[in-house]
Amino acid sequence: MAHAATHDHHDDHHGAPSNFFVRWCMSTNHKDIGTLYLVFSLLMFFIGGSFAMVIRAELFKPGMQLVQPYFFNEMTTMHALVMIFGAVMPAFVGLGNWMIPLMIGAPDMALPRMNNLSFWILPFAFALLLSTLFLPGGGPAGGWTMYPPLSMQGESLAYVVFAVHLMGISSIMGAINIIATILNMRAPGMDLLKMPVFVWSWLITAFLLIAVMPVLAGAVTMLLTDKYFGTSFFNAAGGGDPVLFQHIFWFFGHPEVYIMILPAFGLVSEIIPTFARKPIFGYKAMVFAIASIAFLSFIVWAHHMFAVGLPLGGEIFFMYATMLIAVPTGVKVFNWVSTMWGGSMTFETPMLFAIAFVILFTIGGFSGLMLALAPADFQYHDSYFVVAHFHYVLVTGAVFAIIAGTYYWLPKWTGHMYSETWGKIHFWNSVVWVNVLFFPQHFLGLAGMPRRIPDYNVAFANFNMISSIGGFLFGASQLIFVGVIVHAVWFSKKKAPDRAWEGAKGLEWTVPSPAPFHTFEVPPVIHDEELAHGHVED
Amino acid sequence: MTKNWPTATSKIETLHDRSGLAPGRAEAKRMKQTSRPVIEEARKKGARRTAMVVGAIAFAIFLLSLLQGLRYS
Repeated sequence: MAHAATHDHHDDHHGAPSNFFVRWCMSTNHKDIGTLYLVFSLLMFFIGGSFAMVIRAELFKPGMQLVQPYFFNEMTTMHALVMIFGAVMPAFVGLGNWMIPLMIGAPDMALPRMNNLSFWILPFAFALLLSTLFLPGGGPAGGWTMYPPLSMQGESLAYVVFAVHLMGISSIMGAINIIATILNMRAPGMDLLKMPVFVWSWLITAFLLIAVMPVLAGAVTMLLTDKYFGTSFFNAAGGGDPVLFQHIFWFFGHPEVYIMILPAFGLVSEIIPTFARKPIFGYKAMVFAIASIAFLSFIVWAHHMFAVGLPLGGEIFFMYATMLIAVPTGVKVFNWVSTMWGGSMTFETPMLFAIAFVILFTIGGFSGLMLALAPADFQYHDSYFVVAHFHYVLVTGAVFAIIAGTYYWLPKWTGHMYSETWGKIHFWNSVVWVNVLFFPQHFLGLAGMPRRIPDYNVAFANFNMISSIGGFLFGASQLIFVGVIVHAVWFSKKKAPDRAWEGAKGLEWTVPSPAPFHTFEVPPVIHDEELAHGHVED
Repeated sequence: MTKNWPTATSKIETLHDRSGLAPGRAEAKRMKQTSRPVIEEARKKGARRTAMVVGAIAFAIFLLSLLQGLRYS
């Protein structure tokens, strides 16, 4: 058994440096670096969340209340940049760092020193980005999409571009590491089609990152040279084309959306079989669906630009290509439901968040399908309907999956069970308030309220007030999450067994809880019945 | 049965395959048949090569996106 390979490491900190600085700043251990990523992303989640609170407070009533319009624009821009690059992406990298080596029976990531560097670039990148808020000219206020010529205003562009470059380098190094780990470090017998779906989802995501992060780097480099070196890539006066930026940006931007959701698919595909006590339904279909979604993500970018004046043929192509994504996504939703069908289900906190993910992400998917229709998009474009759509995908999708994954693996990380009562209180508060926050935004968008405005017509007052109340309470609910984690790490008396969940399968549950500092130094022997998806038939 | 896709160590395993053993025993002995330094060396080499190839692809894509900018502006 794989278990036997780790029995000589019952001391959970065996081999960990005792010096705080050496352990956390110079770490090459995948578990410690995973922890650093997760703590960093939680911090960024609250910083980005506080920007969202400013936005919702200003929009609580029509008229200008609390902030100046330019500051409001800074908040919308920074909220998106911090949440995307600082909270969601690092959270998935953290989960991947912690769990991928454990799930494939590897002793560590393939390139541990590069792993350390990819993390430690991030705090500097975000310090640089956030410092722009204190500059005399203010921070970036042209939206996270940085469309020229709007983003050329102000003096913060160079800081933002440098910060984006640093984030990109960090992401590319992280992706290289994950690909090298999965392709080279699997335990003997852990064939590709025996890997957990989470590992598959990360492998595909890493290839997406490799393909699109350099494109973002190229786009922002051209922005920089346009502003400071006299080039005219996007400047119509010099023969350039601002729409070119939009094409290049969205060639990165749309796969980026999938970078934030594919690992979430993988996470949910681990959690649902555990609490349904059944192998995942259609393992191979799940893997191929993820690969199909990743492929399709490269040929749909211009659906973000229907209103820009594309040729009719282009609009039709991008409309149908986008609608095609519903097919593999539908396969995944069908398979999650089929996994639950007839299972011996129990509803612990990770499962509750996973079920909420399936339902609410599907709502986000349906509104996405509405936006994919080119003729209809002319009405929805740049309205609050779009805001509602992508928050259903990214908050009740990606963020809920991250929370579900955290609850699911917390016993393995800390060696203690978290408080199930408080986990459920956190869940019910989150699921109620997130819908109060985002569902009315569909109505606001359909009624014609544009996004990224600090003031609005009184006709939109009621739904905005409801949305703001939901926002404040959803934000406050996340403090419960911090409380549950702090309790589990330092105060919980309930020891977690090696296999924290009765129905859990996979190599990560064969090592002690908390996972020892070094695991699988001797590669484990893989037994098919130990794998989450059971026997894979040809 | 699952199809055996090649892994970094599958080549080594093949070299040490003792096909005369009963299937159960062969599996139980599999880890003993592959020495750790050999596995580690193969992993290191494979990881370095993968990182170089993937890194080069990323850099090429960066240059290509700049070229696209030059071509269409």
